[in-house]
Amino acid sequence: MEITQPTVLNTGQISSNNDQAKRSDKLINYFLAGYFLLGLALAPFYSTWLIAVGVSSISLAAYYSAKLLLPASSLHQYVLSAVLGIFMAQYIYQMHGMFEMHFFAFIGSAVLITYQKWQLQIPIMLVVLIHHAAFSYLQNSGFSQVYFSQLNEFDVQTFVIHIMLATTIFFICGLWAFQLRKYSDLQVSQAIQMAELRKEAEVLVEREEKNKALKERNNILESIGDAFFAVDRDGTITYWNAMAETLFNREKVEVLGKSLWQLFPKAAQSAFCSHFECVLANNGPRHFETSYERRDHWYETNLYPSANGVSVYIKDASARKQAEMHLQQLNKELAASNENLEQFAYVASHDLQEPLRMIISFMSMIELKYNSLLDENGKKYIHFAVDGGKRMRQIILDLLSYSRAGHLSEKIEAVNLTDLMDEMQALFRKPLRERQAQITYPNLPVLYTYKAPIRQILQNLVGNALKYQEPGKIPCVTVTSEELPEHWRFSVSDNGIGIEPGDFERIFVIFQRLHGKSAYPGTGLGLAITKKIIENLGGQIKVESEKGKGSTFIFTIAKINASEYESLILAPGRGERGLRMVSDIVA
Amino acid sequence: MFKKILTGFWLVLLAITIGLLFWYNDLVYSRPTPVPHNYKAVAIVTVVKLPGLLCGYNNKPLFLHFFNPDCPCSRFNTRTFKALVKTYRGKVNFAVVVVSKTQPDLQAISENFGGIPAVQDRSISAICGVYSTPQAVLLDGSNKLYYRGNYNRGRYCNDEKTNFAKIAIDQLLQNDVHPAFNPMALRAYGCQLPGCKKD
Repeated sequence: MEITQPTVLNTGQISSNNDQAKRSDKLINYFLAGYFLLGLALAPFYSTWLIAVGVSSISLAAYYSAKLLLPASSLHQYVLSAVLGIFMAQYIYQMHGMFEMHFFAFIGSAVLITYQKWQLQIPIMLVVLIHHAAFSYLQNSGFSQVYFSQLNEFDVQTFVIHIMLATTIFFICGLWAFQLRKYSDLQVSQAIQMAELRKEAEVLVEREEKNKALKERNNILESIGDAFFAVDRDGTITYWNAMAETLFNREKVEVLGKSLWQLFPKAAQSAFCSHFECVLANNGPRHFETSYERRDHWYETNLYPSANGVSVYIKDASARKQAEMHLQQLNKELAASNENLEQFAYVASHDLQEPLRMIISFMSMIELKYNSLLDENGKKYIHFAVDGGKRMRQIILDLLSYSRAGHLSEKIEAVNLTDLMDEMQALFRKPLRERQAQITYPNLPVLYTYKAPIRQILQNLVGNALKYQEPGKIPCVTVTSEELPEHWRFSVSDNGIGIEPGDFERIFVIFQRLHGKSAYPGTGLGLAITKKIIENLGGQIKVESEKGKGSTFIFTIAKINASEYESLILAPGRGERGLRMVSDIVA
Repeated sequence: MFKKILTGFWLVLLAITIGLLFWYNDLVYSRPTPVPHNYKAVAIVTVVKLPGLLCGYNNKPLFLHFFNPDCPCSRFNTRTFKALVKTYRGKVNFAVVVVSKTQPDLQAISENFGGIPAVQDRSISAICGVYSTPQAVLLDGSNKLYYRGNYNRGRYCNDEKTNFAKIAIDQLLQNDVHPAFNPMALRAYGCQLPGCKKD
């Protein structure tokens, strides 16, 4: 690096020089105060008060008035130089020609170096020169009123040596001032250059870091499995990664700097173009799926706004799309299978009833018509056959009910649960009377829901509560309700035989029974049907129980509020829920 | 521009004022001392009867240095007088006649001038016909007034040609009984004596 010597002062140097001049002016104030005080201190020697006060004051007045009158000028500095020369003359005069007072010329010369201006040595030198030349000439020429030197004769040789030595001092001080200014300027210039170089280096480092980050980003973009390209607002391609080369079968060098719309004319009429314009207009991302060129390939396209245009990521979504399509196909097949199974279950259960009814009827007829011909064993066998047939018919009826559990073809209506529980009282009138059972159901709400499923739930749970009791014990059943933000919560509590915690889940499984038919008759379908119905109503069911201390079945039902109810009953075709329960059974 | 010109004039004016101050100050020193109205001239060759300590010296000439510590002119030539003492000690008796309103330390003055006697007696001035300081009075061995005048024409006392006091001593030592002195030597310059009034 080469530091060039400044030929023209730049702003930094001018500012620096001005600061330096101001600092020197401040310093000079102290020096001038010292000069003035020194004059006063010398006055008592030879009673030179008039000279001490008069000349010092006028000298100071000259300096400060020049400074005040022309503040922008450096005239006051030159006046100062002359004033320092005058102070020297004053001191010499005050001390009656004492030679040592000449040192003040050199002191003044040294003081002036602070301004770093060699020209300031000239006025003080001129004062010394003119003063010596004029007075020595007058003294030597016999002018009686001049008392210049204590020497007997101030001849030309002495004068020349005197002045030459003094001039040498002034010259050296001027040289130091010049050197100081020169190297001060040079230093400022170097500092400025260094600052510029540092700034440049910082810019380079920053650029390098940006390049590094860009390279890293490009490496990432090149290594990702998605096609990526960047387009500016005019549609010019600015970036094109390796996957984009593969996907579009275009090399990077072919596309960079070229218009996307010219390279791919079809894109200009495609959904891509509208999405592209949307991204530019709204400055927000867009996502869409489409197939390009080959219909068996799907691509997920994401467009993001960038500083210069749009960044486009294209992901090959064919595998996911095929999986989705396969799943949809499977769902369709499953739905068809469920449909068939449902039909089969319905038909089977329905059609099985007819021959079974025939068997039971004819067995009953045999028992009635040939009762006298049958011995006791014959009668017992016929009874077993009729009983088995009846139980089989109950199973078939329950299966039919289970298969229909998903078919909610009725409409939503306002269901008063208190009325429903009144119906339960009537339904279970016989067991209630025989066992003196009690059912309480305080403050039950009116729900907007399907009436039949709710009735069936309550019928199953209340029926179980009455059935699973210790013999001789008076059953007590309580039905309560609680309104939650999204659901209605109900509980059906009894004082029955209770359930082991290990059986809490098992009781809801189809055909699972905890007791023998002789102890508590049943088909093992009641709670399974109840669970399915509740789940179809958007709720859940669970049981809390302790063996011998009764059980509490807690279930929820999704809430339908009044406004939703209004919209459901007003919208034609709404309010019906086709729920495919058979498929769930199969699953 | 006007401001520059004004400043220039102002500075020139101040420079002239400084010059005038120096000139005025010099003018004050260059004027002869006014002769007091009650001054009684004492002629050369008059026999002088000095009082006190100065009386009864040996037969050597006596050089009296009239010195006023409060007078700048008197302080100017201290060095010159010391040089004379150094040069002519042994050949000439020296004494300092202190003329002051106050009571200065005569011992200190005596030591300052190399141990020569210092006296303060206002009558000596009148006896010698001195009315200013600094003044030199030279008496010969018989107490006759040989010289009464200035030390030098120049205030710096550096002009050998007008080194009047020295010239007088040399002439006396050479037994020059009819000395001729420069009129400038006999016209008193310097400070008036304390209590003296202008003529």
